[in-house]
Amino acid sequence: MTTDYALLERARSYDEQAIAELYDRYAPKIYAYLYRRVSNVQLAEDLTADVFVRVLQAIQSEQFWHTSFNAWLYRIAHNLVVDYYRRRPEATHLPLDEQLVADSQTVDSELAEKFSFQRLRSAIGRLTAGQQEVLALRFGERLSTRETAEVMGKTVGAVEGLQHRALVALRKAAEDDEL
Amino acid sequence: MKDNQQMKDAITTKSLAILAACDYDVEATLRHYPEQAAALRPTLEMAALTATYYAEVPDPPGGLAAGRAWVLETAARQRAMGRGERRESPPRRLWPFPALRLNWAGKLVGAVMALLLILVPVGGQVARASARSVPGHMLYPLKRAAENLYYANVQKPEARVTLALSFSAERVAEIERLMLEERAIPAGTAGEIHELTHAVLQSAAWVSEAALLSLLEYVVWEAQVNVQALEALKETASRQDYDRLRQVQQVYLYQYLMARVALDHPDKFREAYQTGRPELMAIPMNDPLQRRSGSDVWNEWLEQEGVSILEDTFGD
Repeated sequence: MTTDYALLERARSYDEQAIAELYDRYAPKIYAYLYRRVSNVQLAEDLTADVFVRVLQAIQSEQFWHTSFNAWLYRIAHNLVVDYYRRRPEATHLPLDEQLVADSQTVDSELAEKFSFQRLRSAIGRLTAGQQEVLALRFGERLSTRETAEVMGKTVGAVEGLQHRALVALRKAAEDDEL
Repeated sequence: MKDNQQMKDAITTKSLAILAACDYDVEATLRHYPEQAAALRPTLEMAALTATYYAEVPDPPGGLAAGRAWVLETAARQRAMGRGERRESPPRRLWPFPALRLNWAGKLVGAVMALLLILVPVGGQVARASARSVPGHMLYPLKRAAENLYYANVQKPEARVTLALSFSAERVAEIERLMLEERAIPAGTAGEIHELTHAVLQSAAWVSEAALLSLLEYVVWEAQVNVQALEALKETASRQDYDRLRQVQQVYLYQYLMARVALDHPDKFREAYQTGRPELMAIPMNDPLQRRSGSDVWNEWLEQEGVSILEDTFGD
């Protein structure tokens, strides 16, 4: 398989095949991340294309990623989401579509029996933007703490602390719903 | 007590990493920590449930094909535009940073030392030693002279931006090293970083249309990372250093804000910085170093605009 670096070098010259290969390789992951952040399939699909247009623009100048192209892509996607919510303050950070999560609950554990996905959805919606982001990146995208730190512009230690607090807050919020 | 909590946090962090490696099998993960199993279980179960919750994503309605076609079409259009594009070059300065202007003797010493760095066989060793030097160190002027020489020979605006950003990050690293050595942060540090911020923004105003937005996002990102790094240093700072760290943070807040506004108004940004009139950006604070107290006006403006560097940077 051609390396990301080789593809990006060719993409800098607007090599159509290289750009298409990069898109095919990463667009599904980026789409999934964006869906988790905006809860709208059409919007997530549109923003996915925006991410790759931003990549095209960036690679014409310098390589702006430091350690991981993957993390850099998520960073661009993260910025697009932040901009989206900033420009549309009426929109709220809603996790996944309620019907979808209600239909897809398959976890076999005491906790899953106790907390329905609807309750989890409601609880995630009450976390801070940073907590939602760290959960989506760590447990949705399954990025490492280092990659998550790079995406969020934080230190690894800050991400570790944030994910811990997010899980505690999430459990508390889900339990509060139960009362 | 504090050590005990740190130990618990470290175990939680490691167990979450193991959980991910075990494909979110909670029982398998807990077998690594039989003694802490009861305490870890709630967090690990919540993490596993969250991972399952996030696993379901509906297929995109257009199968991502429309976006793919649009990206390729945009690439073709940019390729066609790029071939005919000829941009005016930014004005070049022989000496890039006004605040670093030295008298003739200083320039002569700097130039000679920079030449020595390049020509003398031991230059490599000196360069390595000087690279980690901090203000007050005998090799520090050599390091700064080398930076200036390097910067003066870079022509592409994109490269000038990234280079000035890297120098700016190095200034923050120097602050960290100074504090480790329990030495005071020099009074002029914020001013020097401000000059670099100005160099970043001024060069950014001349980059190609295609690269501008991503570059500005990078400038925003760097500002956030530096503000965060400085925030962490405040915890152990003396009163005087605390004030200086805060002053440097104000400079990065300014960099952050300018770049964020530029993302929304790229044409205004180009006009402002290409003509040397940053005040055209209509931000209530034109120069952070001129402010003597607080940042209330700025914070009010940030709130009004819905921009929160603190939330973006520090999150929770």
